[in-house]
Amino acid sequence: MEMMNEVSVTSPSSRFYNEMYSGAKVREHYGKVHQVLARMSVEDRVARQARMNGRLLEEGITFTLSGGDQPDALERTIPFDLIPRVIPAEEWEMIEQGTRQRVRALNAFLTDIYHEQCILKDGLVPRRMIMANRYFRTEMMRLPVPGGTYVTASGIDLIRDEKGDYYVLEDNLRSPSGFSYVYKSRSIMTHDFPELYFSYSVRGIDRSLHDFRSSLRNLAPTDIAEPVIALLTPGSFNSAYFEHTFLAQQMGMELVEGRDLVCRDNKIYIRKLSGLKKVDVLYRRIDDDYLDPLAFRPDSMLGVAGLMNAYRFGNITIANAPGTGVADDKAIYTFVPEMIRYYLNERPILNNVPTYLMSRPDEREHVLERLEEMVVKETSLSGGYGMLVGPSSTEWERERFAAKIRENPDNYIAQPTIKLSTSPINLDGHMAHRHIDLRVFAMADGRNVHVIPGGLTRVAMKEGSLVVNSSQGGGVKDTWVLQR
Amino acid sequence: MLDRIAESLFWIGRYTERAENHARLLDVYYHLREEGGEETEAIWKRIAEAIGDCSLYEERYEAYREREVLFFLTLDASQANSIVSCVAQARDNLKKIREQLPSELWNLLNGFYLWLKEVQPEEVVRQSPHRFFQRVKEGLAAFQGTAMSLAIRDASWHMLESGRYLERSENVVRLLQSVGNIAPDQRKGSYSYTMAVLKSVGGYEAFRRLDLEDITLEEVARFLVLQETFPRSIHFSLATFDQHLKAVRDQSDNISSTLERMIRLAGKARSELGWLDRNDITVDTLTTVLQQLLNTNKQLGEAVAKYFFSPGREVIA
Repeated sequence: MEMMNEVSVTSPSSRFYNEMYSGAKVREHYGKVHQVLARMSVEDRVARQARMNGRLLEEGITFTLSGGDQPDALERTIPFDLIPRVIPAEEWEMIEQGTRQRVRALNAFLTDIYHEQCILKDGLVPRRMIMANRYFRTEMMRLPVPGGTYVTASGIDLIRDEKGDYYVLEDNLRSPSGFSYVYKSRSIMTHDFPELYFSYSVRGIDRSLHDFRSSLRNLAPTDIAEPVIALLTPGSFNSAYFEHTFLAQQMGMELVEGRDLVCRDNKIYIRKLSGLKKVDVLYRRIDDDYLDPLAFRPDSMLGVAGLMNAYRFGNITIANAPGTGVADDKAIYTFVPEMIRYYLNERPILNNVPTYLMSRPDEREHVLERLEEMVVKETSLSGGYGMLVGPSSTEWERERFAAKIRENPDNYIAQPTIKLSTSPINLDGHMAHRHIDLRVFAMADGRNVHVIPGGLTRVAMKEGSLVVNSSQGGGVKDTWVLQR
Repeated sequence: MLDRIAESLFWIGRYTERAENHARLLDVYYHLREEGGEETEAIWKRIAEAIGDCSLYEERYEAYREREVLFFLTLDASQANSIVSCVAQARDNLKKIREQLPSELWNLLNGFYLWLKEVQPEEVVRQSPHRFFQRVKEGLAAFQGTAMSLAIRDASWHMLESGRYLERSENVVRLLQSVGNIAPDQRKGSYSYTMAVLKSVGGYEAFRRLDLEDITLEEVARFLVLQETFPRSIHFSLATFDQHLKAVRDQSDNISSTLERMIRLAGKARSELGWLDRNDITVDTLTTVLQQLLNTNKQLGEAVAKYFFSPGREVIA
């Protein structure tokens, strides 16, 4: 009971939408979460949390921070919070539809950009923004891709404003990560908090791994019975290596590094002890730049020389296709609602956050006048790097950023400071409120788009912080979609 | 299987086996005190010799004392042959290829490593080292047992096991060498050492069951070298190593000449052991026999390393 009192005292301010509380009242779908938590003592909650953290460490669910040469010291577990995020069925339906729609439109956009370029000819997107984009790959022009699918795995980041409406914050179409956290969070909740988990009827996520695998399988260039699917990882020092091993193991893919692969007669093979084994589908978790030293960066040690030729010959599928980065650029993002209307002739289900392009003079001046209210992002960077968060910035930082924007307006976009919704977290057994977002994962194979029910709720563990990226100390929550 | 994966598996087998052998040996040696016998310094020196690199030890410490030796051999992460280093190496190898083995195995080994890493030297001494060594043996046995019950018996399993058995045979040779090196005049009375050797490989009861009478260095050496039915004898280890290599060969489509050579080498070692008569192992010949066995082990180890050596990256595009 003590928990309830405490909560009403620190009742979240009305400036943000709180997932669990509406004023001092608990939202209906959080009723049982609240009940179960309130019945536990502070010590219980601390102990439960500690047990979950211990499991994360023991199972080695870690990521590595880049830029260090002491591999051991920098192996971190991601903070995990025991209070789940609960999404009612109707809300989820909207998210799922919206995500499907968005992924279809983005894929149509990529097909168009790398073929006819109708959207440029019709003047909806400025040609300059595509051609000058560092993720635009001329190598992909007029190249038919298997299944017509550029984006196989995508992660769409959603946030909620103060009214609780969902908005898309960004699209991740290159090699989005976080799948493994979705599954491990669920496994931890079912094993270490079963009384809460089983008090709800939550939509399962295990089938989605199967869907993911079928999506990759369906993209195999020939219809052989058992295509060989391999996951290309940069290696065990990569920050997301745990995720790579997890996916490879759970979906029965070969986990390979560039040095394990060899190109012969424009086909890609895994170099095995027992001989060479042909790869049909390559799910790559390295950037375009490093895929093939012959086609892209010549100094890359991570890729396979000859891969792009094999791809051009149609002997292998690369998922996601090279060149998808052009569609998840933060400036191109502003045009996605237009794409949905243009390609699908539908009304966008999920809205964009209002975004100002710094390349447009009037918008630029508008933003520069009120930089302290804005979030400014560099278009080609992700992971919370290269950002200016207006309200928490210093005068000096703003001046420096203003200069950078003027110097290179094409590289920046600005958004009004978004009011991310908050959710309670368990902090030393007490409840605290932190900002969260939601990464929704979608898998496409040309025929269908599967959306994992739930996805990854990321939490900014620092009080008041709006940055949820794990590289910046963000945590995760299990995300429950309720059955109808 | 990729060659780097085979290599990692082989080393996981080796390192977990090595850690277990160290724990067994230290456990027995630690609790051994010769009646009125040697000076303590010599005891600790022998223990250090059996496992570690003495010159490294002498560089760091002035004298062989219990605490330092124990730390040096168990928890010193900067000493490549300490128990914690062996476990860390096994774990790092598994980390690289963890999708190859059931995830339960990774959870076990990683959990075990995290525990071991945090153990303080004071705790080991205070809470009786026996408990500590017990815990180490159990942790490794859990890994081994889970692997037994869950792992698919494909080439990766055989690679893991061949590493284990090659390591085991090498460890037993070194163990026998460490007692064999005791000067012959002191050896007569060293009943308890001989006993310790036998116990450290868990062979005392087996030895008795086989109705072997004399616990002399000769008899024990014969037992540990030749006894085919005892799983920690050299003969058994090399025979099992040989079987696993053959299984690797049988499961691969194209046969590499290096693998064939290894199998021939292992077969040779095995048949030589088979031909060895128990009377061939005496106080006088022991050193030579052990040296030969050590050489065989070395050859096999090198052959395996060569087998994994990946041919340079070739590009035909």
